[in-house]
Amino acid sequence: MHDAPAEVAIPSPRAVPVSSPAVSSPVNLVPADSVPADSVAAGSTAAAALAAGTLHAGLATVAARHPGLPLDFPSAGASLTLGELVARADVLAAALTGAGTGGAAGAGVVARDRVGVLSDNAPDFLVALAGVSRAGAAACPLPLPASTRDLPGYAARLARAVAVAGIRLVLVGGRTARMADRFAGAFDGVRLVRVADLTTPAAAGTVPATGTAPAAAGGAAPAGPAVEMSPDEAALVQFTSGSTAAPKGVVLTHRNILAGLTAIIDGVALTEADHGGIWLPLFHDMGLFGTLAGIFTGMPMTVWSPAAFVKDPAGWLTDFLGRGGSIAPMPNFAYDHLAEAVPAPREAGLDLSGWRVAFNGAEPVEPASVERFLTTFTPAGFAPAAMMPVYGMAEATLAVTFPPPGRAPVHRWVDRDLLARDGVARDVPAGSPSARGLAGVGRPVRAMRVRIGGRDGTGVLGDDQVGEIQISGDAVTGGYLTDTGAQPAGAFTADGWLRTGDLGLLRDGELFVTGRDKEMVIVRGVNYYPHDAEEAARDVPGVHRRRCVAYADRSPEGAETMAILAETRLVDDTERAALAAAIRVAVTAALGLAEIAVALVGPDALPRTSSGKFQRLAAREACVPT
Amino acid sequence: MSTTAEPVLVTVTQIVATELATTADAIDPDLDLRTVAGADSVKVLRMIARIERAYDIELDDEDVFTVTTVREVTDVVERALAAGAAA
Repeated sequence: MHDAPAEVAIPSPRAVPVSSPAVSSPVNLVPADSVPADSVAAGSTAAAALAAGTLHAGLATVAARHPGLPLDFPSAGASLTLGELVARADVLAAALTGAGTGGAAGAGVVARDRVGVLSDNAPDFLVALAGVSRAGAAACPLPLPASTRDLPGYAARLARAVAVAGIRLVLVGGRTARMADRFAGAFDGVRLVRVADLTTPAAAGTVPATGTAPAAAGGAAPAGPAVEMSPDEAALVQFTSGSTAAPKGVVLTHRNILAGLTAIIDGVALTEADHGGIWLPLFHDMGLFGTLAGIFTGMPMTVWSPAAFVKDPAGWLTDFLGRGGSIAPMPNFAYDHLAEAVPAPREAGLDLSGWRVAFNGAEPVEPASVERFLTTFTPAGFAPAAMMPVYGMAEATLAVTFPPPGRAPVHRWVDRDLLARDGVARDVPAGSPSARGLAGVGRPVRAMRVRIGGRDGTGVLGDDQVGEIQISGDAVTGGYLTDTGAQPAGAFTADGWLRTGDLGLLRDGELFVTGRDKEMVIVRGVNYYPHDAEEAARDVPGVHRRRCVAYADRSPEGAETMAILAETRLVDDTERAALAAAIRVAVTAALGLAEIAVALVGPDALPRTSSGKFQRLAAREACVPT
Repeated sequence: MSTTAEPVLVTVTQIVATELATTADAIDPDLDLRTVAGADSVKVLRMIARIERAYDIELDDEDVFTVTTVREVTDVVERALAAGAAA
């Protein structure tokens, strides 16, 4: 691997207008309760940081109080202090804007630009985030591929998001930089520059003169003042929701982010005595804002790679506990992995009594998973009240509802048929044949409001009635970036509440999530869309007249999968098996998703609407694979 | 395939078979694992973790994510073993 910066040169860095259309805020959010800084312990580091107005100023505030705050990245083999992180971010900001060289050079970033951040869980990610913020631009964390077997497909997906955001500079960090060399050519008119090349004096001195960002970082060049930005300017664009065919970026302002961090810190009363552990990817909302909430609190953080957890859940747990970990968020599936990997924690010498907050979010919370985890780990000191099923999303910065602190998980058992048919929750005894378990995900976090609306986007429903979950508040996005520049249809209600597309019900102020209105598959916290799977599958040779339907399904083990039904005229078993395999490969390559179930049906077996469109849900109900 | 490499292929095949809940003789070394139902990214990572423990090596994520067949996994392991021996 060569060491030159991975990037694609364009004729002139400013050949294309950088300032793509400003985010139109189509709605004026109903003003929510203001967020008093004293909602968090008065005089605390968090209170000071949350009052700082911007993301980078908040980080600088914490760094001023706790310059030695340790941030460990074991999987990346790196650790640094918060003071070092902020100092590097300052140097990066100067390199981005050219401030470090009197404005004559630099990466050409100006206020309100959008700058991509592509990095594994390494210090570079947070340096880039803080540096871009300080430079007055909005950081756009970009997803990493689930596998590098299909880099061209990944790069094509990424290129769409990059285009939608009008990104012309992507900062690559950590070990991702090496991989990025291999697909840099996929981005037309976009430069990929390594964070290290803009923050390390030694590296900066060796940057080739041509085709790279000028080495503005230049040694100990003064960082210069931060670009003054209003708290209502965009700080971050999250691309974790939306299909790959039509990516949409959730725009979050500094005010959104600080309100979102306040809600998290306040919701579980984080303190400097806590120790946070994160292995979720930092490009994911839960990984990113979980980490930032910890840093804003002034508590030590350890950030692993997702692979470190998945490869060895028991090893991760031992390491987390050994470091004094007290706060960790992860999706439901991960709690299953832990229970499976460590069936006898007490015998293994583990003491989980210090783990006081185990957030369970980013995918549907399964009561059975929660019960199994508690059964396994309470004998080793895990407090049931530490398990916190929560509800959140990128559109809300992160948190929407949290259970009250100190409460063990609450499940309701309701009549499954009545829930599905009439959208009404009626309690039935646990264990009865018709019982469906619903996990209580608590009440709205500070400055967040939640209501249940009619599924057509109008009206507000009462307790125990299933409808669409709608949210409003300081941490909620004002709108999306899309390829057309227009807001996605129906993203907000007429009175300005965000329509989440999730279904749920309220009872006595507690939210229970029951399903999703949109056709979407969530696998390990990542959203996948049937439309994208159909696009990939229909051109596989052997599919009859490009006819196929994809939909969200569940595996026999209960895990979410993308199911694909394809029509074919093939009758030979070997040929059919080969076709199914080919469809699986095509969809995996296009989506970066391996949880795929392929079934073949005869010609004209798939139900269509009068206009000839395939009906996903009808296909799921009616089609018996042959 | 050299004779010294055969045991690696055998061991890797056994680990893959175990993770996929099948038998070693059902795993063709040239089978594209992406075509196997149930061979999701978690299972692949678990296989890699078992292989790493079996040989006391650490495989580069980038190498791991590029492989598609058992034979390719074996090649990656052999390269790592050779690099370890040379170091």
